[in-house]
Amino acid sequence: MSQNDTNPFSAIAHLESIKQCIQCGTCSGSCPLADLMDHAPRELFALLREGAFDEVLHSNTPWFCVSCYACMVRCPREIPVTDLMYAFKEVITKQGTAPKNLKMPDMYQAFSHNIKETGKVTESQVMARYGMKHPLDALKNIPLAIKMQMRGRLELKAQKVADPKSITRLFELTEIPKDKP
Amino acid sequence: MTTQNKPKIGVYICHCGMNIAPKVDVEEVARYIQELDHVTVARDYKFMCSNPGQDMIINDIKELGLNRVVVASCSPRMHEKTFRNAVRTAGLNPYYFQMANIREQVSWVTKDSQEATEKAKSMVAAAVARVFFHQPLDTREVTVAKSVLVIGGGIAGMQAALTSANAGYQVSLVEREPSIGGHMAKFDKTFPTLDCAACIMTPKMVDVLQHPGITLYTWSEVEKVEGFIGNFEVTVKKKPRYVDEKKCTGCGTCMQKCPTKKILSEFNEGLSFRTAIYTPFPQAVPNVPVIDATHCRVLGQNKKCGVCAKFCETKAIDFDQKPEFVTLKIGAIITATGFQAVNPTSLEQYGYGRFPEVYTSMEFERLNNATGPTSGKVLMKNGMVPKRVAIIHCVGSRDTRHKKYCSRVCCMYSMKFAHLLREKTGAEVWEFYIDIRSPGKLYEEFYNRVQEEGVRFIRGRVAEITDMVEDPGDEGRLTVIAESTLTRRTVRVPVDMVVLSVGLEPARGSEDIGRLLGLSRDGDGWFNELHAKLAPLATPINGIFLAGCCQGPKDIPDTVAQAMGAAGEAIALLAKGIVTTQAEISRIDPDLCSGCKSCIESCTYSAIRFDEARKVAVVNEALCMGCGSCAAACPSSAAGVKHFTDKQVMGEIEALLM
Amino acid sequence: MKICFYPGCSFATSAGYKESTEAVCRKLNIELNEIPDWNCCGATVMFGENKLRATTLAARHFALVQTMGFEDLVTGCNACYATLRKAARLLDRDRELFQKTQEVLHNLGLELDRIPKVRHLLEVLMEAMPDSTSDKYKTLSVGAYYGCQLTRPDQELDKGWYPEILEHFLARIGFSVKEHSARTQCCGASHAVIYKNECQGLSHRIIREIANKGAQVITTVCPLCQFNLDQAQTQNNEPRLPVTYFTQLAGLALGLAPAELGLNKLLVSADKVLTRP
Repeated sequence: MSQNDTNPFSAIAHLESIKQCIQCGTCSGSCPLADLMDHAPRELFALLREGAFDEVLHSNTPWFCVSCYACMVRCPREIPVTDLMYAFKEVITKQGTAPKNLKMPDMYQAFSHNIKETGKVTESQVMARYGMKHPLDALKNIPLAIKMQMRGRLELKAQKVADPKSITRLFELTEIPKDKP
Repeated sequence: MTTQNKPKIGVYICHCGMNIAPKVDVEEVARYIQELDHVTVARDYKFMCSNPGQDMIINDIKELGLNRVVVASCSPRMHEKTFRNAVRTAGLNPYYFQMANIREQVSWVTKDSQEATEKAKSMVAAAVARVFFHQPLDTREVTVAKSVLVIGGGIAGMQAALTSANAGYQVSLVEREPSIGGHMAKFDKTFPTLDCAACIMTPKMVDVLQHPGITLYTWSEVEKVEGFIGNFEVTVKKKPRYVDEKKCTGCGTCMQKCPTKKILSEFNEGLSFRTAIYTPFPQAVPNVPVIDATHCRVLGQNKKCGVCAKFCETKAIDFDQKPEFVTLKIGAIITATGFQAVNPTSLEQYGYGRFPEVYTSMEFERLNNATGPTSGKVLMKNGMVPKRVAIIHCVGSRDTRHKKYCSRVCCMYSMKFAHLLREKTGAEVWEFYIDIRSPGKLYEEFYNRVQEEGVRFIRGRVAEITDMVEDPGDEGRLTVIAESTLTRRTVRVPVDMVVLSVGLEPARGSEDIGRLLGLSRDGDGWFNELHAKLAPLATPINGIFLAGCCQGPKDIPDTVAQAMGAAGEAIALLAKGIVTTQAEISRIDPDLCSGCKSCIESCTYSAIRFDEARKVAVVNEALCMGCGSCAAACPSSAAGVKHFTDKQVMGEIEALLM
Repeated sequence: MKICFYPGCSFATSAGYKESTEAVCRKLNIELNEIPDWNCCGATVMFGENKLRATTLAARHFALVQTMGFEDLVTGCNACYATLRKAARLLDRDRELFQKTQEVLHNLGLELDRIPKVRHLLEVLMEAMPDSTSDKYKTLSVGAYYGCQLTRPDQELDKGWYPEILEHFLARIGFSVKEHSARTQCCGASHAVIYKNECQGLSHRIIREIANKGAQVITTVCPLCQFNLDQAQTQNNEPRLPVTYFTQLAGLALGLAPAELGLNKLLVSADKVLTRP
C-alpha cells in the first residue's frame, strides 16, 4: 500500500477526468509500446483512485508514452490520456522517483540539457551526453551515424541560438523548486 | 362568502423525510411564517402528502375556518393535485391553494443550511402573498372521442393498437414504411429464449391487418395534430403508392417484371437488391407493393417503361396517384416511433465501410435470416463460411463522443449472435466486451449458456480493426486489436468477420414528430416521459402516451409490456368518456378588448375566435391551454390568464424581493 | 505568398526536406520567412519535464512571429507542429499560464499578446500546388504516411486515424496513390534510439503494410518519420521502399531535378523507382 497520504498528482489539470475511467482498455490496446509498460495506462488511473500513489510515482509507464495520441482520441470517456502521461512525468521528475534502471529519463535529461545549453537540439550532442551514461547504446548507433555522415546529414557541430544564455535564463526563470525528499 | 373576504391562511411546511428537514430548519420557517399577516396557523410535519398530513389540513380548514392553504414541500408537478384534492375534500375551492417548492428549488440545490432556511422562508412568504389574491375557479368536463391514434407500426405500435382495439376502441395505426413490422421483422431469433421472430411476429401483423377495430395507414405520415386530450384532430398524409390497394391482389408479377432491379434493399440493410416496384419483404403487411418514385423509369426518369402496368391483371398500377389526406377525430395518441441503429462510420478505427467483412448488427441480423440475402447462411462476401468471428460490444454506446448511454440490448443480442454463429457455422467466436449487462429474466442464464458453448469472452474494448497482416498466413483476414484487461495482454486476433454491436438512437424524424405533438426530448433525443417512475408512459401533453424505444432503448419484452401499458392508459381515458379541462385558462375582458386580433394571431392552439357582432375576441375554453401568449400580446390588457393574474404574480414577486 | 516558417532542429539535416522545400517554394513564388533565432520547440520531452518551461519555449516563437508581423506560423515537422499547437491550446485556455508565460518572456525582452495559428507546410502546398497536367508520374505508386502527430489529437486537418488529405493531394499533383492502413500508425521515433528492437518493429510494420498494398515509394510530412522509416530499412533487407518527403514529390511534379530536391540524401535510394520508364 501507499506510504503517501496526500496525492502528489493532485495539482494536475484534468486529473478529475480519471474518475470517469471505465477500465475498458482502449488506451492500452491503442498503445504502440504498451508491452514495455509495467502498468497499462488505465491501471495508473485505477491506482490513483485507490490511493496507491507510490505505485504511480515509480511506474515506468509514462516514460514509454510515444505521444501518438491514439489513446486520447479514442477514449470513450474523453480522458486526455497523453496529456496526463506528460503531467505524470512532470510530477515524477519533480519528486525524483523515476525508476533507477530506466534509460528514458536519462535521454530526456540529455535532450533537455542540450536545449538549455544551446537553445536547439543537435542529435549527435544529445547522443554524446546520453552515451556517457549508456555507452553501449551510443556505440550501437555509430554505423548509422556513419551512413548519415556520408550523405551530409550528420551535424557534429552544435546548432545554437544567437544568444544561448537567454535560453539558459528561460530555464532558470521556469525552474520549479524541488520538493523535499 | 364573507369569510373569504378576510383571508385566513394555513401554512404547512413538509420535512419530506430527510429530503428537506435537515437542510432547511423547518421549525424556524414555521415560526417565521406564523408571524405574517393573515396567517392563522403554520405547522411543520414529516410527510405532508401522507394521509395524516392531508388530514391535518382538512381538520384545520374545518376547525380553524381556514380559507387559504399553502403547502411548502416538493415540486407542484409531484403533489399539487394531492393537496388540491385535500382542500376540496374540506369543502374549499381547490384553487384557494398555493404550493412552494422548497425541495427541488431549495434543499436539494443549496449547500449551506442557513442559506437554505432563509431561501425557504422567502419562498413560503411569497406563496402566502400570492394565495391572498387567489380566486375560486371552476373546471369543465368535455367528452372524449372513443378512438386511438398509434404512430409507428413496429412491435410497440402493433401491440398498442391490438390491445386498444381488443378493448373495443377504434384504432388508426400510421406507419411511414410500406409495411408494418419495424425492426423486429428483420430479426431471425430473439433472446433469451431464441424463439423465431417471424413465428411470433407475422401472425400479429396479420391480426393487425384483419382486426375490424384497426384502420391501417402504411406508407403514410402524420401531417398535423390539433386539439387537445380527448378531442385531437389529426391529419394523416397517405403518400402515393402508385398501386391501388383495393385492386392489388399481391400476386407479385409486377416485381418480377420490373426492369429496374439494382436498388439496394433497405430491408436487407443494403446487402441485396430490390426492384423499383417492391414490397420490403415477402411477408409484408399489407401485401401491396409501392413504387419507388426516385428509381422508377416512368416516375423518376421520364422514360417509357410501364412494364408493371402492362402485366398487372387487375389494373392496379396508377402512375397518376397523388398524396391523400385523411382527417381523424382522436381521443388518445400513442407514440411508438422507435429507434434506429447508430451508424459506426465515424468510429474510423473500426473500418466500417472500408473493410467488407465488418458488419453492423442489423446487417448481421439479415445475413442470419432465412429471408435475408444469403437465405440464412452466414457467409462472407466471397461466399465462404467464416472460421473465426469477432463481435464487438458497445460500438457507439457508453462513449461520450457518440452515445453516452448504455443501449441496453447489445450485450444480449451479441450473445445471441455468438450462439447462432456457433450453431450454424461452428466458427470460433470472440466477444469483446466492457461489462456484460444481462439484467432480465433468464438473461444471465443465457450468458452462462453461451459461455458453455465455448464463446471466448475478452474483457476489453477493441482499440482497432486492421487489415494489416502480421503473419503471411493471415493474408485477407482482419486483425482485431484490444487489451484483454483481465490478463493485461494486448491481443491481436486474426478473424474472417467482425460484427459491430452498434447502439440505438432515436429514429430518424422523431424530432419532427415531437414538434407536431408538442413532446419534449431529452439530451439524447428520446421522448420525455411525464415521470420516470410514476408516469413512465404518459407525457407532459395530456392524452399522449409513449410506447417502446421512442422513450429510450429497450428490448422486446419491455417494449411489448410498455405498449400494453400505454394502451391501458389510453383505454382508461377513453373508458371514462369525459375529461376535466383545466381552470387556468385565458379570459378576455370584452369591455377592455379593442378588437385588434393580436391575441388570435398569437394563439398556437387556435383557441380564440373573433365575435363579429360585438367586435371582440372570445376564448374557446375547451381549446385554451392557458399558455398566456394572448395575455402577452394584448396591447389593452384585456387578455389575462386565470390563476396568473397581475395581482397574484406581482404579489408573489414583491414578497420574494422583500 | 509569404509565410513565416519555423524549420525546427531536424529540418536542416534531414534527407532533402530543406532543399526540396526551398526549391518548391521558389518555383511557386512562396516566400519562406524563417523565424530569426528560433529555438527547439521542446518536442515530446519538455512537457514531461515542466509545463511552464515547455509552453514558454514554444511561446518564444509566438512572440517572434508577432514582431515579424505574421498571423500564422508554418512548420514542416509533425513533432514541432503538435508541440507548438499544444502550447497554443494551453495558452488559449489557461489564463494563469498565459500570464506566467508573458512574464518570463518579458524578462527575456520579448512581448507576447496574441497566439498565432500554427499550420503545417502541407496545408500551404495543398493550396499552392497546381493540378498535374502530365502523366509522367502516373505509374509511380506512392503510399502516404502521415505519422501520428499531424491529425492527432486535434483532428482538425482531417480524421485522426484514417485521414485522406495527403492521398487527395498526391493524386491531384499527378501520382498514383496506394491506399493502406498504416497511415497514422506510430513509428516509435521518440523512443527509437534506446528501444531499437521494439521501435524497429513498429517501423517495419508500417513499411511492410505500405509495400503489401503495392506502393513503390513512401512519402512523409515529417523529418522524424522520414528518418525513422528510412533508417529502419538499413538493417533489414526487404522490402526496401525509398522514403521521400511530400515536398520532394511536389518538386518532381513541378519538373524539378531529383538532385535539386536532395533525393540523393535518402538512405534507401530512390534512383531506381524514379528513373524507371
